[in-house]
Amino acid sequence: MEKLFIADYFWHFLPRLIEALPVTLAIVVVATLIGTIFGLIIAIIRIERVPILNQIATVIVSFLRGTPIYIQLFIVYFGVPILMSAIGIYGMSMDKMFSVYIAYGLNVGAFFSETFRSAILSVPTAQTEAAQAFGYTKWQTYRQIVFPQALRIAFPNYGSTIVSLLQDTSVAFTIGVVDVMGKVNAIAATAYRSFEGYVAAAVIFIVLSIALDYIFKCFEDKMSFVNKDVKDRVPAKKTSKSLETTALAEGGITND
Amino acid sequence: MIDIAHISTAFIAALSYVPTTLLMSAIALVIGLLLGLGIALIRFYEVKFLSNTLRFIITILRSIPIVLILLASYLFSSILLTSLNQQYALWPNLQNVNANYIALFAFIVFTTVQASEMFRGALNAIDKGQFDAAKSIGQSTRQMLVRIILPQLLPISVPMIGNLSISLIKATSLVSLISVVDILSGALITANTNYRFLESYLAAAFIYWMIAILIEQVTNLFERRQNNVLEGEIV
Repeated sequence: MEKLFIADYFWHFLPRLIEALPVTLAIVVVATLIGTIFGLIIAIIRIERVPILNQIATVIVSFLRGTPIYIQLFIVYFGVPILMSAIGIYGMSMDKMFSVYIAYGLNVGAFFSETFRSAILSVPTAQTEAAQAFGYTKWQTYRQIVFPQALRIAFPNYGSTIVSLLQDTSVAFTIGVVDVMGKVNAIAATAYRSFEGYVAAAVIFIVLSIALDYIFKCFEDKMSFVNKDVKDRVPAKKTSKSLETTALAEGGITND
Repeated sequence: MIDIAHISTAFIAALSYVPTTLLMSAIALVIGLLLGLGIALIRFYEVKFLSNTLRFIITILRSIPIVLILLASYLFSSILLTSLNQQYALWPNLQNVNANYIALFAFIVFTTVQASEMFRGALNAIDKGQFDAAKSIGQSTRQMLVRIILPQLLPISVPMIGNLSISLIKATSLVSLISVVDILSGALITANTNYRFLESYLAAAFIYWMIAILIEQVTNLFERRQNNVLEGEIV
């Protein structure tokens, strides 16, 4: 009788899959970096309504968000060499990891751009106007006034997009990258048994997702300044009078 | 260079598989939304035992990529079938379960998990005063749900249901991995003879894009009408 689950195979798979983990993590980290830069540029283009670029950015974001990453991956994989030959670089050998980084970077960047855009737009316009009244340049306003406030608003969504990016990387094996999923298939080719491999991969993804969620949650708590200020500055048991004094002393009304 | 003629050939070839994808997504969406709503309500009312068990299961399932669920259930079904046949000879002529049903199962799991999280958020967004008011006029829990809560819950969920259907339809592009023929495999059939893979992928991408835009427009339209209704009431 064929067994449904053979624990020995599971333990055969698990350590070998963990060896492939750096590849998965590299995709997540590099794509996040590319995506953050790409997303920020798109967000600013769309907020400032730069002519022509704004329309192009809108179409690109709509495409990247409306089509499966599985297809985008192949479009980049087959498309970049053709694009290169069009501008005169022939016979470029396409590294698989390179196209994976580009595809995931652009995909996640499109999602980031929406997060950034709504976060930046939710910073009150009075803040920008005040900065301009002080004679700040546009770049100074963004860097010193808008971004620090937008960061706090964008962070929860940013985190959950990265967690779903981690799950999306499980498709990268289809173009032959040997990440955790690719490793399952590589081992299964010799072990003639891959169900336990998928279970082991699932365990790895569960642990990683929960860990990432937890890390982002910690950052989020640190960033939400309302609670932190109250918690840090005012010990639990205090009379209402001393509360008032603390608030005053802590910078409610100061002249300097 | 990119050959436009091949894109249109692949596009037309793939169009005939749009109903397959849409049908599968629609069935998964309806079943998943109902199950998700049930789970969200169980967790919202903190039903003993069930609530915690479901929370655990949802947390686990949320973290597993859909492609993994798809491939694992495909394999598991064939192992299970072989094993059952060896033991009891239940369906000796059946070698494999139809992959369509396995894909459907995987997408129902995916939708249920996503929908339960979505409805849980929406339930928490409803003003607590609504629950208190329903209780104060002596409505039972069921009456409260049907008459007060659900009519408010569903409209605020519409944009999220739109997003969920877009990500569900995008996820269905993976079914070609378990040899179900869908939009993507339809577009790739033409590439098998002329090796124009990029064009085929582009054609499939366009179809998915069109579907996504369509869903987005419908959701926006609904949202705008909903806002008009709400504003009309206030003014």
